[in-house]
Amino acid sequence: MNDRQANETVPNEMILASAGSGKTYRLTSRYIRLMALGADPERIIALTFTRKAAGEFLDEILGKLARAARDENAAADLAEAIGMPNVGRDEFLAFLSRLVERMPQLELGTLDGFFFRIVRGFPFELGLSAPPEILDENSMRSEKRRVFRRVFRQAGQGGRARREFVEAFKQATWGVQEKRLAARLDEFIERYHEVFLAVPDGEFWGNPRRIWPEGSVWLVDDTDPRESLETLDRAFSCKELTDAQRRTWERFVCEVGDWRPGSPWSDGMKRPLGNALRIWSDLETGRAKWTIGGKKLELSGDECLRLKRLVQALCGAEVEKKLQVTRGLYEILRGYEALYADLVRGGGRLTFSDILVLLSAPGSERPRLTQDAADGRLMVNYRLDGRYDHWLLDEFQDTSYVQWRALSDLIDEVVQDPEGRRSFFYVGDVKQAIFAWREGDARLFREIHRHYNASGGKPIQERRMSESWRSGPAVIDTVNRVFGNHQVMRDLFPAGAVERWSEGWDRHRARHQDRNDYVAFCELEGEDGRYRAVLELLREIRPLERGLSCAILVQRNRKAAELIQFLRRHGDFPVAAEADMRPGIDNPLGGLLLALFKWAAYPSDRFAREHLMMTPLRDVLAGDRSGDVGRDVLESVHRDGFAAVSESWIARMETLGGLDAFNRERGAFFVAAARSFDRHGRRSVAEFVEFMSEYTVRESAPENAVRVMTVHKSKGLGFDVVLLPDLEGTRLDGASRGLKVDRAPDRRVRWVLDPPAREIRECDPVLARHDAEVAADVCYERFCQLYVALTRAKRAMYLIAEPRKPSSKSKNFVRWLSDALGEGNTTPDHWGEAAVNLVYSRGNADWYRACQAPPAESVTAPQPESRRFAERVRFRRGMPSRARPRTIPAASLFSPESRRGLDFGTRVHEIFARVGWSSPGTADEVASWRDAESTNETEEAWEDVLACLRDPAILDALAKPQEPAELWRERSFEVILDGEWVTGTFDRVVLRLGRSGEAVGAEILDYKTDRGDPDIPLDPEASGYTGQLDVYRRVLAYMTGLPAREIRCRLLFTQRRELVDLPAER
Amino acid sequence: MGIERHFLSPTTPLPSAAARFLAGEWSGGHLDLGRELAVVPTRQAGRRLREALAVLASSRNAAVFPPRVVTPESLLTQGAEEGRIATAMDTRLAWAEVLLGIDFERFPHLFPSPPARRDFNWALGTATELARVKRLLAEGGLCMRDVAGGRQSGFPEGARWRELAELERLYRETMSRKGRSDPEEAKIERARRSELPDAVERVTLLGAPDPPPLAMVALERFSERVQVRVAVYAESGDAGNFDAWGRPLTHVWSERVIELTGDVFHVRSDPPDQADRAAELLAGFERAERVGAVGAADAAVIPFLERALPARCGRPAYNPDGRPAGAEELAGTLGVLRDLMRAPEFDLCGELLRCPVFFRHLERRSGFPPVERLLREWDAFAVECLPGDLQDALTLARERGDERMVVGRVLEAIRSLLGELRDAPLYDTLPVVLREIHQGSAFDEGREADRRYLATAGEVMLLLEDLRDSPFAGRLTGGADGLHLLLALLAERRIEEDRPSDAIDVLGWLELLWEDAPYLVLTGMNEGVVPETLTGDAFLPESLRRELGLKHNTARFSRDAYMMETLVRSRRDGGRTEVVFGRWSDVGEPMRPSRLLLRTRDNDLPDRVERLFAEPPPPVIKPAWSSPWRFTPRAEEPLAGISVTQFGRYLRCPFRFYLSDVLRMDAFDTAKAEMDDGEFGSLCHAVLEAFANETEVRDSRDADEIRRFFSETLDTLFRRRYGPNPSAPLEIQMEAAAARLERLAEIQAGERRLGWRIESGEWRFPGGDSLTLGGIPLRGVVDRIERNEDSGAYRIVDYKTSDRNRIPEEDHIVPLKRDESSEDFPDYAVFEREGKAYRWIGLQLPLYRWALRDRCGEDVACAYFNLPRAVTETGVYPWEDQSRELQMAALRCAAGVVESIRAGRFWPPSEKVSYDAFEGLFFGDPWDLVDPRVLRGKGEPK
Repeated sequence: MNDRQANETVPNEMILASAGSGKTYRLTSRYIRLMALGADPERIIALTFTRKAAGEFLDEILGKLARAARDENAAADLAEAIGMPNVGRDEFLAFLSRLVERMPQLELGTLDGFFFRIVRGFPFELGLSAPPEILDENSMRSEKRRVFRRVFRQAGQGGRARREFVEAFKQATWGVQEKRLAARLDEFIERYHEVFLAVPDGEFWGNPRRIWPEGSVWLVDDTDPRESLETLDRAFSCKELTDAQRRTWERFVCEVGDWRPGSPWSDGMKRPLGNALRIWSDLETGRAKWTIGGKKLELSGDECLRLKRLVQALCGAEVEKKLQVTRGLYEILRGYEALYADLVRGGGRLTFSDILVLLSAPGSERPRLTQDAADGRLMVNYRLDGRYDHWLLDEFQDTSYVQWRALSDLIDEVVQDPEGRRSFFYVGDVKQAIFAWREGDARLFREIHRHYNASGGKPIQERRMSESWRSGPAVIDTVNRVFGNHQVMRDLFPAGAVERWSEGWDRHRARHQDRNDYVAFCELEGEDGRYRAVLELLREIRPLERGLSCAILVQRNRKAAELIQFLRRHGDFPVAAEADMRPGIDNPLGGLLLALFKWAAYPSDRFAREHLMMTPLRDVLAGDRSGDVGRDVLESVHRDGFAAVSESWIARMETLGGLDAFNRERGAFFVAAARSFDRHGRRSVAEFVEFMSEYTVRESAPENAVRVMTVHKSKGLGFDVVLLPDLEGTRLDGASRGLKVDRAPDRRVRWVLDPPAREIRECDPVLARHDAEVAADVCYERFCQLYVALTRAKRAMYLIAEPRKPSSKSKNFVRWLSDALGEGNTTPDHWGEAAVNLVYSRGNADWYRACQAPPAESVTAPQPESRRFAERVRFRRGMPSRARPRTIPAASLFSPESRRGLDFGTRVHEIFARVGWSSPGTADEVASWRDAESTNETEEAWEDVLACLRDPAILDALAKPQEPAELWRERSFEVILDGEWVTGTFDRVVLRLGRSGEAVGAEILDYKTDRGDPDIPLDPEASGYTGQLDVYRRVLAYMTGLPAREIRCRLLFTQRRELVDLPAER
Repeated sequence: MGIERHFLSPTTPLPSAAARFLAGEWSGGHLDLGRELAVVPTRQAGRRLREALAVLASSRNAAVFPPRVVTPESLLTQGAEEGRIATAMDTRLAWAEVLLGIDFERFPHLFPSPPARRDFNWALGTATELARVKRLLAEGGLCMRDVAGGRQSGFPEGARWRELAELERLYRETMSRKGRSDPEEAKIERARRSELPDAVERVTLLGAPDPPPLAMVALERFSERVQVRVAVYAESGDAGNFDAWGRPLTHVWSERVIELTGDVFHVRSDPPDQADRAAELLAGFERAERVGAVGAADAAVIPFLERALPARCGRPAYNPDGRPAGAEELAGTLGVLRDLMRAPEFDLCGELLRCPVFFRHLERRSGFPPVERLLREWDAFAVECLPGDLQDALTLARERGDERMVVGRVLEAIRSLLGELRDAPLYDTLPVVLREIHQGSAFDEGREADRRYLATAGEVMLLLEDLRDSPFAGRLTGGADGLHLLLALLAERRIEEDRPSDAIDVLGWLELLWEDAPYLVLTGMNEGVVPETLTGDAFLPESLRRELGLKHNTARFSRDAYMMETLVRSRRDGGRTEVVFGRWSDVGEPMRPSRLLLRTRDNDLPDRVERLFAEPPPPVIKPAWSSPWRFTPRAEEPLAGISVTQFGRYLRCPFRFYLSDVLRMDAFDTAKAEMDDGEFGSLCHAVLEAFANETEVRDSRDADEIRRFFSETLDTLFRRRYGPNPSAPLEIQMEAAAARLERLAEIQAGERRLGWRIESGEWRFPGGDSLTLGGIPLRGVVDRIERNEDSGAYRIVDYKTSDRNRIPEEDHIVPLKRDESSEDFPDYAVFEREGKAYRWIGLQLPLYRWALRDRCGEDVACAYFNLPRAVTETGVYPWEDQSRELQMAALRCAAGVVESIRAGRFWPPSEKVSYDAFEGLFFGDPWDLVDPRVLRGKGEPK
């Protein structure tokens, strides 16, 4: 690409796209355009979030190119799409060819995968002691538990560490005397470890100076609440109070008297204090009416002041408690993290979060690898064997600030390229930002745009895409009514959220205006009713039979599971989940296997035992008086691993009672999971049961089924028909409980706090501001969630909700949809046999009747034409030394002597192999070799051989016979004998030869170097040698044509210098 | 003598072709190849060659004296030695020694971030990586210093490699100080010296398209003395496409079209799906093992093939690569020992006890019961005492006396075993310990599992010998590190298994050239796997490998293109090659088909792309949830007696009561690290019982005095049970108990001042038949009976240590909800009060009243003394309604419960329960999944 082209034709681009408007199409077209402009594909990097989407990038690029390379019209279309009308079929074929050729260098993947590759290239730089590996979710849970246990144990070893831990825990649970520690600790770590990683500096945790740099309204001074209480009590005793007011006040006084700093507020304190906080600003003015005992009580200026002080003191104590709890939590997390870093992360076992921690180095100014900027960037390119000129980032709204921080230096280089030859492209939909819980931050979209455009260089152009290629006009009209009516939104939701929404909102248009589509919003009582309506609707439409894809979207996994259960039971069509399954515990077979393992390892577990006794295994166990079954399970687990044992028991269950298709399938997953556990060589049943109890597998739903999934999982997908029967829920701006992390607009953390009660936060400007920001963010994400749900349908969408109670003030999805779509009255309708009340509809209710499934293509894979291939014979392998398997005592197995014996034996054999026909001078000759070659380690072997050679009988056995003879020494052989492939080595064979050189007799001599007890008579049978020599004899018979029984076999026991004849077996 | 190139036509399978080539002009008699050296690419290729030679000879009723068959690797490692070549054990230890001694500041480019902990673990991990780099370099005859020097000025990592070279220098010095030389450097040296084994007259490199450069150096030197032949498995007409060593020429093979017809491709989803397809294809043959074999280019498919082949073809799968030694039983046991040596935690002692080697060892010793009882006793001790480590456990076992003798002796055995291991170097102690714990056992070579055990033991003993011989072993700081190293090295070894004669071979990609099955199913044919593509290496990125002349991606592609073509071509007549690949990895990464499959003519490329990048066939629709059996609880005789707290459990759900109270289904908590709720409560109760029995203090009105008593008693009881060094969780629980009791002391002093005097604490119901209900004995313990010294009134008090305050009435009765009717419950459980229907959910306090009616009268008051976690809420919570009607209703209910239990009525389960311990067992649906025949009671329809 020349400079002109690069500058003029490859601008930096930010694309704000709407659902179904063709983000991936745009990205892949840009990719092809870059290639057409001459960019090497290996210099283009395209990253997204999910592995699935990453896989689709290349598929789509290749698909487009393949079509264009084959067909002129497709080529013309593609040329137009990439804005280069002169590019033709041949060029596209060339691009296709080039792309295929460079496949290994292509960087089309996920952000996580890219970061992992960086970490893999820099293990020492990142302080890792081993090459990094990614921990899957299941292994991660095991590792976390391992660290978690270590926290306990380390803390149990006494000394400072233990005291610190105990103190931190007490601090983190201040005010309550927790009697169960494990669950609380688990909760702390599960919920807050990631917070700790993002904010590793304790300075930010529970630090009042950071939270209230201007001073806190609560932490004034050491006001004693009792003093104010007594003053007020005196004042109120002179006041006219109703009985209820008096009783309430007296209880209040009594309970405040009992209250201690750190203790929770008792019931009698909560309401009056809440009411006092509600009039907080009035108390400050000195004119207030306090609701107590159900009635307002007018307070004097002094009473206002006293009440304010009282509330301040009580709230101050509460706030102080929360500060302490936060600091305690920090200490616990710090202890955990230190162990985690040591035991898991430092060893290279990483989660994707860990990778970001390693790369982005929270708490420091710059990401770790680019702290020495120029050098760091260069090395990333060098070690990754890549240099990326063009960056394409998809689904950018889901990018987190930490991810951006890890990438930004690499992209800076591109955007600030002085020659402007490189480019940056990012696309996404801020209206689909549903991964804020995973730190996805859609605000980055604009910030980056502003930042780069302000910094000079080639500007980033902004484009918006709001034409839907996916949905028909009725669906798009509905989307516009719900999300374009900002007045309804303002009436219901926080202004900050609505304002943010309207900034990213463009009125949508349907590309296919003539599509025959439909939307209905109906009301139905009760969950059963809604599920039944779904069933009836599907029976009526029969989407799969019409070749239509269909999805049911729900808000939570639990609902998905319930609905699947319902539809599988009552429906007559295939239903599949895009959900997590748990092969260890979500099926009877998995439960049985886990119970079996547990009972075998923990025989006192009566739960497991009785569980087994309720299943077809009862007969097996009932007949097992001596405990052999459990013992056998435990032994075989250690011998063969959990997977093999699971498989054998699954097979047993098939014979005992039979398994059904569901459990058989789950059994296969169980075994696969067990195999992944076995990979680490661990045999702990407790660990295995824990692992399997939490092991999850993503069940992917095929398109030839009705698919049930959460809205989150549906992102990026489109379906002909979408049903939404799970719209209920609470207010949209309800923030989650737990630690609050406050961030400045530039994402720097300002503080972390376990928040005090809502009433207190509402009266505290800092905390109230934080709450409002969080509420707006949470609410915005919920807008996005509904937007994703409502933009999946291509042809029809059915919204099914509980009728809203007139008294309900809940500002949830149903309320929003009712207000935005409802037209005052409902119309009765029928979906199959289900009667429904239609609140809203658009389009043609009978849309589906015209849909016909396309004729089925033959997709069966062709089978081999011929099944008649020549069979080859594979022989069983026979080893003479194993002809009669021996029994080896453990004592000899673990004897250092046995190892030395082997070396010794090898050496003796080597020396004997050099001895030809013996003569009286043989010993001297061998002695001369020894003198030249012997070392300390071989001394004994030489002596052994020499001693043999000085023995007349042995010397005779090694001597040349009278007749002509041939001598074989250390001769290996391979032979097919009686259908076996026999491999072995003759130590020494003497062939006596006839006149014409044929063998007329033969003798085998085999050296045995065992160092047995010299007082025990030799027993070749017991030592297994007869079997071995018998094979030798048969082989030699085969080789020489001599009858086996005429071949003499002798063993020479070198240690004892004894020759033993082994007669032929009969 | 020179190097000659020969071509073996792929019309014959390579093993046979190679055998014939070696046999040459052999015309009869035994085939004697004893003076030949055959170099083949892998050990499996060597086996196939020897087998083919035997088969060839057998065609003339002869045997073979085979050639020496070696791999290129062993060509460089076998033979006479000068000096001592370092073992893998030596190299790791020597690197570790260097790494633990260096000053990081001298290596700023290599270690810009020093590790968090500079210990043996770190050193071993880093040593492994450095040894890997040296091994890769040595393939090309290079050392680190060769990379550092001689690079051009633009080399971006010069400083880092200079530091590596410096590290290597230190390592080499360390080696040579101890008279050792690095094995990789020795290989380089040996290749240059090239000593031909004795009596070899001819060398043949057979069917090895990718020999390491260093092996070629050695062969070149051989060729100066003997004839060296290179037998290339290709048509002689293709001679121009290979170099002198038979390596496919990169520029030819990277461009070459590989002829594949569209019908051989099988696009599948993931590894299990691929394995299933391969098995499905082979299942079409009656004797699949005689016709077919499977290539597993991607090792991730192998485990699934090992399952799918037997399932679909009825034949075992055989992987000549063997099993990882690290996953064998002995490795597992040694792993537990290593962990115990690092930290003798009590949990790990339990793990050791569950190792068959260890429990069989104990069983063989006198005085130890069979394992089942051993484990029962062990677990009882574990959950009761919660010891943290071995020492704590020993102390506790000693203090608890003889009833725990077995546990104490197991602990002693473990202590002594660990002591033995610590006492002397591992190479001396471990064999002794292994002999000791295996004493009396023997291994049968005829059993596959025993053979594996023997092989693993052999490897362990070899490694121990290496450790003994290693001059660097002194660096090991403890037996645990030595064992860690031993296990790390063991994990790198594999245990070969015997091939069953009817097995279907599953072979890695590089073995396939030597496979002669006419029907070959290739699986895992994915890009990055075949050809293997290495990217992002921390030390040797592709650009550097290429520059250094090491194996690089393009060369691999050429080799694999040649192999692919040859595999297909050699089966074109009378055979077939199927190609299976996946679109997703086992961890869900997208995968692409191998580029080898896309080496087609340009015009065909678009079709090929569309075919290969197609969606895999949709998976089979998942079956609906179902249970293959109905759960049939065992019939058990109902209770011989009943305690007051059991009534509540029956009332809440008779079915769950049957499971929990009749069958006594209680799960063993393997992760227990602290007191459970019951134990926490018992501890508090025990303190309060002691208080009630301590006549001097129990009358005290002084909160401080009571507090002191509680504190001292709690401490004593706690230490007695958990020993002097309880774990941190227990410590925290004790502090929580202390805080709750401290507050109770204040309230107690107040109650005393109000006139309440304790008459007795922990009053047990009289045993035997003296207190029966419906014919069965009633059991119970009243926490406290007190009497007001002013009014003379009695009060029965029950302590509650739940987290939240409990209100007596709410624990016993609840009003029926709007959607409930009295018919939903048994008659006896429902009653009316002030016109409103209630039902009983507990009977504890009314039954206490009934049991004490003779002593305290009919109108005795009842209360809870709550000790919740919010101590400000501690206090006495009386049950206001003590009316006679209510008491009568309670007794009627109790009688009804007893009668129901005696009649065996435990069905149906209650619809709503606040907590269901059996939810996971019956998947929340006992109504459908349980066979209730034994639960319906006498006289009820079954």
